[in-house]
Amino acid sequence: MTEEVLPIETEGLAAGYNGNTVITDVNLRVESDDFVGIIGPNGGGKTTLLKSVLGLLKPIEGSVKVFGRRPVETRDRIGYVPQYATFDEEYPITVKEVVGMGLRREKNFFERYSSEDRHRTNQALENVEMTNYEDEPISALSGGQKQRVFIARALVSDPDILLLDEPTASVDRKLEKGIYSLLKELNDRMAIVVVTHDIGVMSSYVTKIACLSGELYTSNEPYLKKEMLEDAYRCPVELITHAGEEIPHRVLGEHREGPKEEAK
Amino acid sequence: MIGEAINLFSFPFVQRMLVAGLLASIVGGVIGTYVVVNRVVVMSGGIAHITFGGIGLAYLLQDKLNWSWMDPIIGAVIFALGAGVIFSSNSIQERVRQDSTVGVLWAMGMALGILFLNLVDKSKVTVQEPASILFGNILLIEKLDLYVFAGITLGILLLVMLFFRDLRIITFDEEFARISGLNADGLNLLLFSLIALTVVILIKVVGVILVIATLTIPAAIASVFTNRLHTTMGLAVLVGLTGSFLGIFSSLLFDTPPGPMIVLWLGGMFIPAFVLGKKFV
Repeated sequence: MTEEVLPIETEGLAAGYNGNTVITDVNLRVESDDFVGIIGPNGGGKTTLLKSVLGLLKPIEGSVKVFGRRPVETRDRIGYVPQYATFDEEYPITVKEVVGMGLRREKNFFERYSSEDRHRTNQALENVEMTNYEDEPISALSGGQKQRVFIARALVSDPDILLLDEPTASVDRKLEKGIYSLLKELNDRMAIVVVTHDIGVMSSYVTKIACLSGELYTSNEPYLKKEMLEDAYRCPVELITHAGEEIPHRVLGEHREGPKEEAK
Repeated sequence: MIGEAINLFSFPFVQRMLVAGLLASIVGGVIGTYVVVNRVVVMSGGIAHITFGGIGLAYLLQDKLNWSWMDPIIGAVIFALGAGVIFSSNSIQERVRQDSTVGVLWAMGMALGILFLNLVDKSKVTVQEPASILFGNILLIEKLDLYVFAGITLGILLLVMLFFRDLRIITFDEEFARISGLNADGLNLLLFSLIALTVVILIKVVGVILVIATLTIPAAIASVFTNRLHTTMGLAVLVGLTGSFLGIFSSLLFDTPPGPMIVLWLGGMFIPAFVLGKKFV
């Protein structure tokens, strides 16, 4: 009998910058059919955790395993969607070219995309419903469309895990729903981890939710009770409502910034 | 008068100017596109000014150590590449703000250049006038210079073609490049080395101070009309060629230095491009 290898598993992970620890003792387990939402205040270490899983940051203590191996060895199995706001909007590049970056096969000016590459690019664009925009310059797209393009770029390498950093930070509530339902579809084929400070409509889609505020507080349920969040999870919650639908809607208040020591 | 200017094109020194202008337009357009889209105009200006120190040092070594082979262009290449290495270094960027580094080295390069040139025994070594180093003197270009420039140009073009996609990823989204397992530090170093070599060629044509114009203006004009990286490069080369030719021709016509004329033509094209261009995009 072989033990199941988890897509992401961290054990006692501590990480940070220049020796300063931002996150401590993080034990995160992501299973292959999970849709994990990680919420937390700004400065709570969300980006630090993502960078650790992506292999951009070495653990200070503990370990990060992606499919049982070091993250740098399994790069081709993770698709990453960064916050789009960090891009230069005026860069002269088309949608197709951005998606093609995700193919990760080094090519020079002379080489053309193979038919398989073309097929994968088309498939990824189709997945995010952006096929009609393939020759558009990235600068001509709206915030939500750009986000879809970056999701396509992550999908083109056919990953088993999709990591998204604040995927809806720059889109309105209506588009936010669209992006989450797209992620929900993708969740049939891959594990999804979304990191955000704004829980928004996310809670209706995730299977697991965790709160990162220096340490990680996990729940294997797709919801967090108010008391749990406030007392154990240190993520202040103002209101939890059930709108009478099948899926409970939760409304979480703004996270208050607090000193790190308090979070322990 | 125009006829006289046209007649001048049969002179070898004018032909050398035109070839130099052609090579400068090619590298200036291609590498200038990276400079513009990656927003490293100021750093490139820094590299250009730092080379002044290298040119001064080369003359000083010719004088004090009798290194007659130490052509100023060698000093320029060494200083430009050194600046490229420093500007692309991550570990330095983590400690000092990048544009502070640029400010410090920019001024240091100029100061060293002035000092070194002052220390050279002018009776022993023929030194180019500081003004002609700063503002360029395409008239002084020799045949050997052109062979060197042609070699550097070919090398630059080859590297750009080989690393076209990688350089596009690194200039568009460096973090993604790292996550994809690309050697981001190596690619940054490559990019800055290409900029450094381009600067050396351009210095000979338009001089230290005006380099930034030939590196920036053609690509900036081109970027108004296209949304693709390679078409930006192609258009930038054409704009550069037009500016170089008009600049050289009008300098012959009015008997003025060619460097400033080239820059003024390019600057003159920049304004209508932005006024008219945006409407057609």
